[in-house]
Amino acid sequence: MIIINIVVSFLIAMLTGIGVGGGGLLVLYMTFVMNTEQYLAQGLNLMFFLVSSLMSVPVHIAKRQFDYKTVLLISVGGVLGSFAGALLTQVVKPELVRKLFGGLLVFSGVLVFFKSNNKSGG
Amino acid sequence: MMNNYERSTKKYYFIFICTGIISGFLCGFLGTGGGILTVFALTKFGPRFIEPEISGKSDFSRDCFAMTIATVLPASAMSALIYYKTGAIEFVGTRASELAQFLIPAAIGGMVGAIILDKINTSFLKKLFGALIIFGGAMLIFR
Repeated sequence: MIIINIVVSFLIAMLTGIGVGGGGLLVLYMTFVMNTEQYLAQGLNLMFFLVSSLMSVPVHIAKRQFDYKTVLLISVGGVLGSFAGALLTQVVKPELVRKLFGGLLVFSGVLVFFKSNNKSGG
Repeated sequence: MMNNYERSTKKYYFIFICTGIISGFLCGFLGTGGGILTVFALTKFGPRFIEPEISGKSDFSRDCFAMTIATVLPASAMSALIYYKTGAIEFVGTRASELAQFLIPAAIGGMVGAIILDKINTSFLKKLFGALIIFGGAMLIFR
């Protein structure tokens, strides 16, 4: 089981490092395969993401071209937004928003998947 | 490549700060999905607001994925902090040896992923991204 945990973690972390994200794959693995409680799985998932992205960002900075000003703007907005979102989610249960946004994601995922044969992004 | 390159206009600040706020909000509120919006915003508005030396390259989409992960990191750290302070997540009951099984591969896998990004064909990258969005969306609906 330890070996499987390590292999699964490695593969999910690779997806995070590539930048496409793990999409909550670890939560699914923890709750269904490992029978971990949901709140523990989410805590681990968050730590997992922080560790893997902390390790991948320096590599990206070294290898890719960053537009730092834009990254900074999004990050500042992101910290403010996540502060508000994380507080609000304690008060308002995000059931409806979660389902609506989930639907939107599935829809846009299908679009991305089938439009991905185009050469450039758009 | 586009000619109407508009850097440092009010619109530029507005669009990318809003992208951050909405992405961060989703990250904090739902726990997932923030990065997807940032990838979309960077690929859509990048050619208009980011210098053509970067946004005009054929593998600009790879830069978008890389920049996105850098922006999601501080937002996730902020929501992790709030979740932890309010007791919404806990690490009690998770043993250190178990944590190591996940977090050590997380660190190595994260680096390996970043290194192989160059090698991955962009259209495959987008397919992978699309598949993970569908999966993430289904998780939100059915969880």
